[in-house]
Amino acid sequence: MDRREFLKTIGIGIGGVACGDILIPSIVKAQNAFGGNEFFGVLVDTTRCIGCMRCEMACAEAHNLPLPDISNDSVFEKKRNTTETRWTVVNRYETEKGKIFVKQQCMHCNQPACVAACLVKAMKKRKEAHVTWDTNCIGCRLCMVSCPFDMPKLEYNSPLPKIQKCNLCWDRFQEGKLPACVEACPVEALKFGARRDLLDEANSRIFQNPHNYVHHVYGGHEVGGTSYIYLSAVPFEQIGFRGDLGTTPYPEFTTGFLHAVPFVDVLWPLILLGINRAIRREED
Amino acid sequence: MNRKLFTFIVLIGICTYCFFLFRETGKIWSAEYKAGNAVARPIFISDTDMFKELERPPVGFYHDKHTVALEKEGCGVCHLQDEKGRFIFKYPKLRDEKTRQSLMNSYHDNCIGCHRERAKAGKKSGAVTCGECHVVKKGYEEWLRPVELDHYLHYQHEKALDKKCELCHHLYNEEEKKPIYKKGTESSCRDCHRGKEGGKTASFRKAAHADCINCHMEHNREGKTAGPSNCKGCHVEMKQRTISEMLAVPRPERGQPDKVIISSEDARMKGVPFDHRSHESYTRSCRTCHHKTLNNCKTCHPLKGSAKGNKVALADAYHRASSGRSCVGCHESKKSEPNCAGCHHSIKGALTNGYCLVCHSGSSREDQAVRRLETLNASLPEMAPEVIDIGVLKKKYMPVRFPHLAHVRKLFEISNRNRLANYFHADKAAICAGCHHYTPIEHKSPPPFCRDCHNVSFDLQDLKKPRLVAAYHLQCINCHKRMKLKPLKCTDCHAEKLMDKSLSHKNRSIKVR
Repeated sequence: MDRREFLKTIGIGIGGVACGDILIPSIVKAQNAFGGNEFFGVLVDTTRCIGCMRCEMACAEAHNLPLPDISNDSVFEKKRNTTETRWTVVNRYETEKGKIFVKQQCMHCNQPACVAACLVKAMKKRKEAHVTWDTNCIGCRLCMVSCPFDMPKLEYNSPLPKIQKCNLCWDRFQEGKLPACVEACPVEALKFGARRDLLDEANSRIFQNPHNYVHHVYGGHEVGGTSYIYLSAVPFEQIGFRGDLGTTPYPEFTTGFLHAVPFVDVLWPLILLGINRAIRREED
Repeated sequence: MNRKLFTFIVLIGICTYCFFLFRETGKIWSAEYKAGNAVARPIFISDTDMFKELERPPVGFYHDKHTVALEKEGCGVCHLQDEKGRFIFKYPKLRDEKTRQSLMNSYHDNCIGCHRERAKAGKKSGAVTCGECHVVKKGYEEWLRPVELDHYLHYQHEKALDKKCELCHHLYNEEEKKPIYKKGTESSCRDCHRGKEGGKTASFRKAAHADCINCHMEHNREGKTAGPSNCKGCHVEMKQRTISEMLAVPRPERGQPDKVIISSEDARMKGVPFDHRSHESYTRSCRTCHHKTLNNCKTCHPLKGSAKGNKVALADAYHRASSGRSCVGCHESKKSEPNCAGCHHSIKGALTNGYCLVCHSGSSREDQAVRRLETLNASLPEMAPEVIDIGVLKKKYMPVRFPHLAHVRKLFEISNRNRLANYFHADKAAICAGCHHYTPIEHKSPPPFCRDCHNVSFDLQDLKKPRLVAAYHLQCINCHKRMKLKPLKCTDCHAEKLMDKSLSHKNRSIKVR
């Protein structure tokens, strides 16, 4: 390497470092600040939600889905579910503490059952928390069966159906943007951040306003923890959450069996062969 | 065919017979009772002190049902009378509390015996087998409300009895073994008649039932107006007055002071001038602040606490925020009233300079109160703008025209109307702090803008602080919600702006709510 080339390399290196700071999106920077291997998440404070449905609109806009009519309040009369074209919905619950609005979408479990169930590895758990799916989905619906929150939805109207669900705005995340729903929320009922920090924030809100919240963060430990975590003023069963899920990650229910399969596969033929040999020798 | 028809007719006949049978029996059992009584719920007899663990479900006893059924025979059927003809409301008449078995027997003998006798005589009667009384009653709820003799009820009794306090209030002379009366020593009944059953003094329940019901019945017999003498009359139908309804009720007279300065020797702080008279009108009864005794606080709570006062020291007795009896506790609870909660829900009580001195002034407060009101009525801060245009969302909406001065005026008005607020909001900065939180408001300089602290964009590192849009929404919406103002729609603040269709990135119009 001559002197000119050396200087050139150094120059590019320094320039790159200088520009890099500008080019690297803020979220990626934040991610580095969090140590780079931290799950992200969203904290949903249902006591703040005003039911404006801006999140539904923003979600539809960001993912090219049919736009909902958010000026219509009557949708709250029936409990809605997410669909393949509506990845997040807001539902209204009448409780003793008045009307409570709850946004529902994929919970992005820390150890998702859908990923464990997927035959073709179309479902993926990204190391930043997003549970995404690829186009090689074969439409077997095993993820739908396995999901404790009933979130993956199949495109029943399509001739080649695939699974659709919230992907925590994976595309936007890579561009360094917030999830669309979080950005659209006018009252910051949704907070995006490192999951650990969000749990701290959720617990500190409960600590500071003990009368306003039930003392539980939903998603903190349910099914081994989820990336969407919820705060509520009333018991979570009253606002449509399942209280019977337990804290065991769903994939763990099958690991014991699945790990046994290779052993059986290997050992069973060996045993049979051994018996066979033993018997044959006697015959001889 | 004939046979089928025959069976069909017989079946129909049986059905009709059953229908009428059950309908009629239903009438027999419940008609009389339903007509006279709206409330038909049982009192549960379990006597767990004596019986400990029950072998069978407790008996649901319909007291008022028995009162109606035995109206002619009178209370004497079940209850003993003393020589003066006053009833001793004890059941069974000869209650044998020696052992579990004897108490059970006395219940069974009395109830079943009476039921059998009446049945023999051909009168309407009640259950005689075990399972008829010992039934598991599901969905049991407390329907007997405790009776509170509040200022209003007390005054009703005062009026009816010509202020003869001795008819109810009494002391007990141990030597002569009879109740005596001494003026100025009136106290709450519970002071002596504690809740415990079977003690030397009658339990509160016994004493109250014996005195109230006997007196009511006597008055009834003499043809005077009198209070109720059945269960539901006091425990269900009695209307509990609210404090505002009791404002016109004259105060009970027991020689209590109008105004005092609360102080103690050796106390570090100056004394607190206390208007006893005006506080009386903010309470339901004397027991709201005084416990069962109507003693001075210092009697049981000396400076360092005593065993009598549960080791609660004097300062704690006045300042404990979690107690409904202490000054601070009661005043704190006022903060959750709609008029106050708008600001106070977000302000976490930090002690400021001079906070203690609001109460601990050491001198009479009469002239101070006037001065404080004047300060509040004085002209509003000059720099407070009339209207503020908030244009954070001006891409989508017209700017919000926030009537700043109208809000300030309203808050001043609310604060001026409330006597408690007069003392604590003496400085107008206290009112501004409802919205301008965490910023010291000097009297001559405008407070910082919201955007000075609240970022326009989302800050991942600072999860505590909402961004600007959320800060505005949370502040406005939460305050309106807590003050129980009309629910706000988006368009109440944000005037609609017609979107240019070409601007929308998917060329689709967004409906704005």
